[in-house]
Amino acid sequence: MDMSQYLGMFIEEARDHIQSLNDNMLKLEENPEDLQIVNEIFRSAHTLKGMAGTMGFVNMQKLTHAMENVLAAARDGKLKVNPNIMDILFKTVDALESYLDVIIATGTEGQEANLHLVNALNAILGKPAEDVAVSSATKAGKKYEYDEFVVRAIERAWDQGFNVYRFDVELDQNCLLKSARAYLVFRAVEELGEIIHSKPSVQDIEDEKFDFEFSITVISKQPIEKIRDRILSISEIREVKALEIKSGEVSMAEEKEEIEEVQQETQVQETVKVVRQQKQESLQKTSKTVRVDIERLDVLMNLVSELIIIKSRIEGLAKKYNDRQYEESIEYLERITTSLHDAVMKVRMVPVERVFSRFPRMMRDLARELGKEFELVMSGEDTEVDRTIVDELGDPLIHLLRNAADHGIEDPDERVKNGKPRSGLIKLSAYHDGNNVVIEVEDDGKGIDLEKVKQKAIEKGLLKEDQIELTEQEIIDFLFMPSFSTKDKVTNLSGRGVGLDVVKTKIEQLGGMVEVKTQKGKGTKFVIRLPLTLAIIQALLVTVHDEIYAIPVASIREIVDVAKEDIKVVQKGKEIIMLRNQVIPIKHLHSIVGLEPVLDKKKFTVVIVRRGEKLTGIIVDKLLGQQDIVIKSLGKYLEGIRLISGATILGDGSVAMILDPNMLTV
Amino acid sequence: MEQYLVFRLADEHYGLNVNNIENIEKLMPITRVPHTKQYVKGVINLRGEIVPVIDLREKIGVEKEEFGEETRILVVNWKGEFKVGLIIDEVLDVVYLSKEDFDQATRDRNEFKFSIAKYNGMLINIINLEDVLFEKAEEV
Repeated sequence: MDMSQYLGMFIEEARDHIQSLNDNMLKLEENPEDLQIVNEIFRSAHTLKGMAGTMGFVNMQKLTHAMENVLAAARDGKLKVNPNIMDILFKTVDALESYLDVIIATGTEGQEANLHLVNALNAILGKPAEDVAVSSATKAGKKYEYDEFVVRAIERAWDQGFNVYRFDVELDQNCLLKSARAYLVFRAVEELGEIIHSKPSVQDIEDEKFDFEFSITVISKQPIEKIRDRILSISEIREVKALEIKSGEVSMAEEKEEIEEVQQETQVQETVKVVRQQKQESLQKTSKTVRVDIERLDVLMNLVSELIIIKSRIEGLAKKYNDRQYEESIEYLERITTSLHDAVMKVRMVPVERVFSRFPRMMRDLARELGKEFELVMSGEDTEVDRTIVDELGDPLIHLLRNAADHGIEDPDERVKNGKPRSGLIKLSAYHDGNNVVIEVEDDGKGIDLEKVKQKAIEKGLLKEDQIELTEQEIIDFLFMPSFSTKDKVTNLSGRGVGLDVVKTKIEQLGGMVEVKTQKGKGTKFVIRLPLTLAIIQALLVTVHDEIYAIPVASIREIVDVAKEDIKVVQKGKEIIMLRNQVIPIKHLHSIVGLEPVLDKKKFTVVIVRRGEKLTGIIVDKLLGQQDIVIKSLGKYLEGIRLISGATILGDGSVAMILDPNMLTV
Repeated sequence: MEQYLVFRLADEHYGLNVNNIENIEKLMPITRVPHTKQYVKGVINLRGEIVPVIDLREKIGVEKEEFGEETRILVVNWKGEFKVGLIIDEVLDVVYLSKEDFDQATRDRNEFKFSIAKYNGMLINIINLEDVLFEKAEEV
């Protein structure tokens, strides 16, 4: 059977299981006695094993099998979990993850057998190290997958001393009435035992929805040969393959039912009941959701974008006609497109948990590697952001978390000396703030040593020694310069050649910004602010000469008209205005985009854009108004123009550049 | 035998393998993109898709001239990764060229190397798309 069509599904589900293994093992590490967690881990491992087996990933299956044995022993109380065992289990999960990576890249699991891990797992159970290659490979073919009911029926049958058989019946190619023939088989078998499962289903067989083969699973006290002969005695049967199913060879087809089963087991305990209810809710929720290929969503999104463009175009045309009915229809169209847009956006929203979930494990390893003690506390994991953004968030966050652990949190002894708790605290939180999502990485470590940063900047020639009058913010900005590190000793972690500049670039690419707040001895907080979506935004259209530019409304604070004499020139020809006692630097959009500025005007239109706390005034020729625009990428050929964050198609079909407000304020 | 589109730049013939070409468009409004190379004329709206356009004359160093009635944009596709429009003076023909039609000689022009093909007594400078799309002449 060609399994490749299930590969995508396998990858998605395996990823979930590996994640849940990681999560639960972290929990187990804290509560080694909690059998409930062991159970959860066992189930994930078990399902993963079954899935791998079905897909023919033998090595992966072998490894999960060994893991499962250890977990089963722990579950049955034959084994106590200790840090050593946890380490091996964590390594096993890592190995499983790398299998998955190879599978994603190549479609096969590769050659790595991870025998050392299999042996280590077996050793926990006191099994001798063996060349495992022989043992479970044959088992792979023997796995029978059934749904929960059948598995339970089978188990009950064994308990009551019945045998379980499976017959693969092949009808003669000339057989005319297939379903009638199958019916005869069913009736004959039912004289000797009970049919608990047939593939295809009885309904399909009755409807002749099968080729010439079907298989039935039977429980019976009769010997297998007797039933087989009975089937063969029916005419037009070409062949019958009879197999006895022995205990340990059955597995459930789906994980879902398994959870239910265990839930019923735990029903007695009052405390567990709450957990159970929650689970069932989530179970119901999952059964109502559908996994959709992201590319299909992108297509949908593109179509909606086109619709919005053509809508603005029709709006433009309609103004010419000035007809009531026409206007009403267009208003209706407007409402529908807006709702459609919202709906599509919502479909694309995913919780940031997708990214967050891998961090507890990462931080655990990091604490060990660095010999530090800290706890990671996460909140707001269910905050939803557009899929395109979530996918890009991983790298910057990993870097900030590492930064907090490596540069922020002090060694345990040093902390105690400074009157802090021995163990540090790193907080990762996400929340919505208007049209933005905010993600914060906060530590209670030693904070950024601004003096040291300044020294480093002077060393690197970024700052002259006499330039001492710097604000805190200006000093912090140095940290975001390429390859700027204040750490004297380059560790394995910080020595990877990625600095905060990478974080900044990435976040700015996403239309967001990073701020740092730090207090010496108290800690550091990185605040990332991102738009909820990248695809469609509100923008202000402005002109300079005959060119139209779009400025995202989200970054505009206000628009003011400024008389020529109110523009003052300060040091080195920089222009500024005073707005409500605040000094705001001014730039001509003309010069920014490489055109000649218009200077002989009495009044200038200034768009005040903000980036964090910083404000900059941009002089434009004319305002055209505000509208929804669809952001389109300039494509690979033109990538890397820092001033422009994309292009958009206007109602009349012409193209306008979208200015990157972050670049305007630099 | 491969098919080549033959077009004119100034008074010379150039050829480009048709496999590279997605469509041939008439001249349409081009929006300038700030901070790009001189030969990048900007972007066009190609039925909802933003496509950069470069002036082939400027890129390979043929003297500049106003666009005319016959000016066309050849939309080429680079390995499915991106599209670029090349502005040329006039589309002339589509011809089949086989190996024998190619001359041993090559021709240098502003550090672009062209293979030379002969067809019905006309000389065609065959363009290597990679050379045209990626920095070469400017690197120095």
